[in-house]
Amino acid sequence: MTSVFRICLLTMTLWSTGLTSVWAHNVIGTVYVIGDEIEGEVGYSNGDMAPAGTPVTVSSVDDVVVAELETDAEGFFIYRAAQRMSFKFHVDLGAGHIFDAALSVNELAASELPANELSVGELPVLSDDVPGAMVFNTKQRELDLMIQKAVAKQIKPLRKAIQTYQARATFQDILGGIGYIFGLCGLAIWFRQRKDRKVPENEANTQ
Amino acid sequence: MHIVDGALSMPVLAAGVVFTIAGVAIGLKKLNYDHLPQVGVLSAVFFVASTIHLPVGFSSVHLILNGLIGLALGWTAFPALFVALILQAVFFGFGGFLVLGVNVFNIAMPAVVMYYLCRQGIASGSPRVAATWGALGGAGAIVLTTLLVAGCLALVGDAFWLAAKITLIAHIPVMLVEGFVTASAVLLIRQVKPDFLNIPEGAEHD
Repeated sequence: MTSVFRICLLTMTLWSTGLTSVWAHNVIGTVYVIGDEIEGEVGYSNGDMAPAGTPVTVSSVDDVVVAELETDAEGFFIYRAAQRMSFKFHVDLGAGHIFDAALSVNELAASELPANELSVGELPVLSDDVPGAMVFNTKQRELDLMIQKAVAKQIKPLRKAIQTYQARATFQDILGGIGYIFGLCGLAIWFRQRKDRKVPENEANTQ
Repeated sequence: MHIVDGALSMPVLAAGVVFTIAGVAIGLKKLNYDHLPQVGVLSAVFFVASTIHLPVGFSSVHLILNGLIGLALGWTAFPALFVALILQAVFFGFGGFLVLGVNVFNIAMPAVVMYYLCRQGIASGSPRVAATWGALGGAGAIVLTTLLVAGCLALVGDAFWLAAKITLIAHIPVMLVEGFVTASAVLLIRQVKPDFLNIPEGAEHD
């Protein structure tokens, strides 16, 4: 009885430790577009950000490297896109920790960047005949950019909180996993018992 | 200690799969079906242990407990850890499926090595000697796993000693905690359920 009590105590201690500090240690990160700039941040799900100087590789969908960047002290990096195309971002945080993200061309669609398939000579040139419209367009673009930047700044903590929450191991996940393990054990024991029961039956039949 | 998908090259992944299949096969062959509940409990302990982060200094570390699992299960640690690592990949996104073979080998092989190194020691008549071997088993498994992880990363270009040094230094607190936890667990299990560690009843009273 004492031994059962001790095992229960040990289990309860392990559990209580587990419940007070349950979170995962995955690499989390995000990339998003603001105007013609692509901003990104990388870190760990325990809240630590990637150390300053962590290399970030920007490549095209065909794995052609288009830029090599570095994160700042807060795991943040900015890439100024020269062309409207899909990008892939690869961050190696060392010791097997890797972050990969893809940014679709659709997310850059609203920007004023030239499309990948156009050469510089083919870029549409705005006419000087309508200076009023140009000024209006420029101001509108500036306003759009300001709004995008302001919104991005506001939702930055939310974005981070959601990512941390998604990467976190919840109590339900843990219970589910334990349930699967015990269920598998139960299945194995059941198969084994069925097999053991069949052997004496066969022996009895042959006699 | 979980390497993620995309960090290793195909030959390393393939080698991990082959070694893990061999380890799981040996483990299943050596499995004593009367000890299945024990395998399940330890598999669940490993599954949960990785989610328990201990704040240590400027960072936080999580328990692995492969030393304790190895001391209790021997080769059966392979199937137990295999199941737990699959579920960790599914539920928590730890590691990944392509890299599963490598991760199982990196964590289970040190467990088996510690089983062979320490099984005599933990069955010793003196609780102090047994606890010391338990602590060695707990901490030693972390050292071996660290070296294996660094070795895998070295195979894809990382400098082995640099990676090993960084991972080893980061895991010194884990080694201390696991050494302590494994030693305590060995002492407790020797008293309440010695056959859990394959120690015959009454051995500690010799």
